Amino acid sequence: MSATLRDFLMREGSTRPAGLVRILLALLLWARFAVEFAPYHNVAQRFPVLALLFWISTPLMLIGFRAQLSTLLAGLTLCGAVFYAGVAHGHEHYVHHHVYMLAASTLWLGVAPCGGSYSVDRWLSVRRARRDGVEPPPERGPQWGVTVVLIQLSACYFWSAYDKSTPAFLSGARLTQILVTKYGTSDIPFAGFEWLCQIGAWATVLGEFGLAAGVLFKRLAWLVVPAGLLMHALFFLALPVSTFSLTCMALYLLVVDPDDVHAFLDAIQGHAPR
Amino acid sequence: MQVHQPYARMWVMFGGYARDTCMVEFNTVGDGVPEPLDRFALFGYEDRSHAPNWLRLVKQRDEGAGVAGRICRELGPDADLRMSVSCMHGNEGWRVVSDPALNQCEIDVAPLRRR
Repeated sequence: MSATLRDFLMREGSTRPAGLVRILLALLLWARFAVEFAPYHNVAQRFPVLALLFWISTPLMLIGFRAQLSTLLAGLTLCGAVFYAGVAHGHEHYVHHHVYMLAASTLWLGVAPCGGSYSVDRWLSVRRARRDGVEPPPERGPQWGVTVVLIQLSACYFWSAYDKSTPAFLSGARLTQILVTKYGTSDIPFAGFEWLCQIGAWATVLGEFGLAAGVLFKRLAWLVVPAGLLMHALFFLALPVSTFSLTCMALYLLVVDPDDVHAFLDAIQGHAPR
Repeated sequence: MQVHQPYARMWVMFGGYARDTCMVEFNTVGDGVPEPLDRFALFGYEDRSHAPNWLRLVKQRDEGAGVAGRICRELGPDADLRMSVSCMHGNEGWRVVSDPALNQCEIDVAPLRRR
């Protein structure tokens, strides 16, 4: 095994960011799927195994009991929703990009150390340590799974920007078309609107290409995190992006160095860094 | 590069959304000078959000022609109404699909298709 690969697989960091993202994604999964997977809904009746697995895995994922396993199971269940219910059985809502992003992010988070903090797993290990009279284990875990999540986020930005790199989008025409349709008229709402749409189109494409690279470099977090959060906030306010923006925003916790997140959380709770 | 495999799809966001929406402009011509027409005010809607869909959103050239026909009836005889309809042409951008020089009140319009 090369030193680089070994370093990639063995590199450790705080498990707090992954633990927080696990909680946020579990809540987003409920926001998106809870109604459709409830027993009274026809989607649950059409795909009962998916619904059952959803309701087994996501509560455990939220509280962090067997956190990695339950997150992995939730991710696989959601991939089932995308590929089995969506692609194979034509449930069109489940092949949308925001559902895919939520499914893939959950799946990859399942290979990250998402149960080492803010979880029943953590509580049990602390209790066990106290009972044995030893120090609780440090909140640390291998970070390669986190990198996999970030590669997914990067790929999402890259292909999203690639898809938009057309004259129709870069001229601002597509953005104009999307926005006027959303607001329900075939008219330019005010002078300069198309000009703003063209600026918005270029900013979106350049921003997404930049974020595709930037999310992979923790040294750039100071720039990438505010820029990415601002872009997604604008998307969330202007367009019907469902859970997509919120999913990406949650993942930005993983863009920052995990030990910096850990130290910050200690600091705001008044603890000395541990 | 396009991927068309059902299980390995190209990543698209809003790729197909609203592609049939066209942009439309109406002008009345008096003494040879075109003036923008507020079609919502013409039909008595102070706020365009209260106007019906057929008046607000044009999804193809024929729908624009249908709206033009109604406007002409509202404007009365001898009206001169010019219409510009631009629709999305693939990934190239807007393409004007109507003749802006044509007086819409002098042609037979296709029956308005109600949505």
